[in-house]
Amino acid sequence: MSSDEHKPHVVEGTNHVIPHHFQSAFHEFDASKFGMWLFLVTEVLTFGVLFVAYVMFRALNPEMFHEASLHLNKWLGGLNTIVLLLSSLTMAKAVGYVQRNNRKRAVQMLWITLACAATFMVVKYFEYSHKFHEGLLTAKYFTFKGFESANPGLFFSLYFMMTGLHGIHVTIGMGIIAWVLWRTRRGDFNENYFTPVELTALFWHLVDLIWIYLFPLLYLIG
Amino acid sequence: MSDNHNHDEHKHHVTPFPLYHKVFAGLIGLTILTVVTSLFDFGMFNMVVAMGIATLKAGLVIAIFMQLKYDNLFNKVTFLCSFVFLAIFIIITASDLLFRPNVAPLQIDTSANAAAVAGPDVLNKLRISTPDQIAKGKTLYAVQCATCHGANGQGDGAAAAALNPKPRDFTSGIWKFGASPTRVFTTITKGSPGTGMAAYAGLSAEDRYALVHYVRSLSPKTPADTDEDLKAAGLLGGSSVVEKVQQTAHIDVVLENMAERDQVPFPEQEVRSPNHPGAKIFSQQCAQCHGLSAMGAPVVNIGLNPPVQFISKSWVDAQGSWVGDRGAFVNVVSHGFPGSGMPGMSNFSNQEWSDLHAYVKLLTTK
Repeated sequence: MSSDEHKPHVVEGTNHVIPHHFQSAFHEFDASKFGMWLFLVTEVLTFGVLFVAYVMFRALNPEMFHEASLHLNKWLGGLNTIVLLLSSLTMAKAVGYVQRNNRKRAVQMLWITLACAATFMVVKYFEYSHKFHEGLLTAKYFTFKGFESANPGLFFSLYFMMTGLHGIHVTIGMGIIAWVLWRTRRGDFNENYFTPVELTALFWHLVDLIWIYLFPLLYLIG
Repeated sequence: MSDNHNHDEHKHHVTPFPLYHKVFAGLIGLTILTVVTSLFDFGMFNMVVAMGIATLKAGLVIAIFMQLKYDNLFNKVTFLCSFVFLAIFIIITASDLLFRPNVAPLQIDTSANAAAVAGPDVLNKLRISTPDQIAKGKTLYAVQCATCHGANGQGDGAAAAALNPKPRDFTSGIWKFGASPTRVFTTITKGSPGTGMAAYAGLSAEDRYALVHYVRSLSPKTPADTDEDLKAAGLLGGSSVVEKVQQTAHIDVVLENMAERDQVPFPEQEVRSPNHPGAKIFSQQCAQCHGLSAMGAPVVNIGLNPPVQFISKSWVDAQGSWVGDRGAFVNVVSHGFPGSGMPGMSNFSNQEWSDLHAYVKLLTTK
């Protein structure tokens, strides 16, 4: 450490105390960020299991997957894709504004991110309730009549598991963004300390990343 | 970080907003592109195109939004490794699953615990002869019937010599239980008590009707179903006759079933007391099903159920006391066991009956 070895190490302009086992604010940031990347690796592999199941079942039932995907609304799926991409942009800009010490704009960006996430979930709600109504459900609960290919319940099992797990991530993300928004407004972060905002952004971009693959895999099977 | 000047100076990377805006525009453009390309059919490249575009989008998000491009090498390697492992996961699973040999589903009768039944509608459809059914029936006939009824349906199959009465000659035009489709169907289903004609209810209704149409195609006399026939079969007038059908069984069930059957042992058998005067008769007329030394034989293909017939000491003690009595033995063997696959055999001389009886008695002792 430098000159102030016996004083508590507070990041300049904030109330954040650097834990004693870190050499500096950047050291703490670096370690936290590495931890987040590791967590994101486990996230990729968690969704990866579902992607593997998807790839295998689609290889075995190509016609059924095509026919089943026609029952998904690609325009609603596309709208949700754009909504999530926009939320990723505003999330990235929120971090940028915190780095530029522009608290007001950062809070605005987080509000837009939150609104986009809520829009995504509302669209998802309408999509789900439509499927529930038509009986396009998982495995044995599949009651929709008029499918030409066999075992369409398989596709909808994957659809609900994949979008469902993703939806849970969006919901959890909304909670974390709301917490970060509240702390940003309170003035907890500035250019020297913004680790929670940065890590929340990483998580949120991963949620966007998963959807980037889910959209063509589920809605756009040619 | 102003207080860390004497250490390595670290600066957080600050991405310019115009770059974010460009990336966002690119992502929207690629989203539109992927929707548009999905409207065209590139055959097997549909998936490749869609995944290519998605990966490009993912790359932009990871590199710029997540700022991995400006991150240290350690974090880059860590995160990108997850995709490497995902690829390994997919490749190994695919190489296993997609290159397994096809296993044809076996047909076994699960009617005992299956609720599925064929109603009158199905039976009414099946009883109308079609060329397909006759072709299918011919194949089934070769496996299930030709042993007794002969390859050409003239009642002259290999096993016919020992049977009394003789198997039906389909070319004769004589039908004991009626020649109309539903009548023949009933005969196949229930068998002919007191003869070697066993009940073939274990075959699916579809298979049985295929046999009906094939054997009728051999006959000069093939009357259609009368109202009376249909009423007897419950296909006319509201009677709710239901017919159990076979189901395609899951491979696990079939294997389990086979494993159970495999527990019935078929020991290597030798003719016992080969010089006994009854030994020759037994080995010619009985050993096909009962085994050379009466230990049983696997004779599934002529519809015996259970597939193995035993003359064992324990069986005789429990329920076959008639074996000891010559009169009862001749009576039972000459009439057969109705419905069990044991045909009646009566073309033996008095001396042959005595020899056979003595030999069977010898076989039932250890």
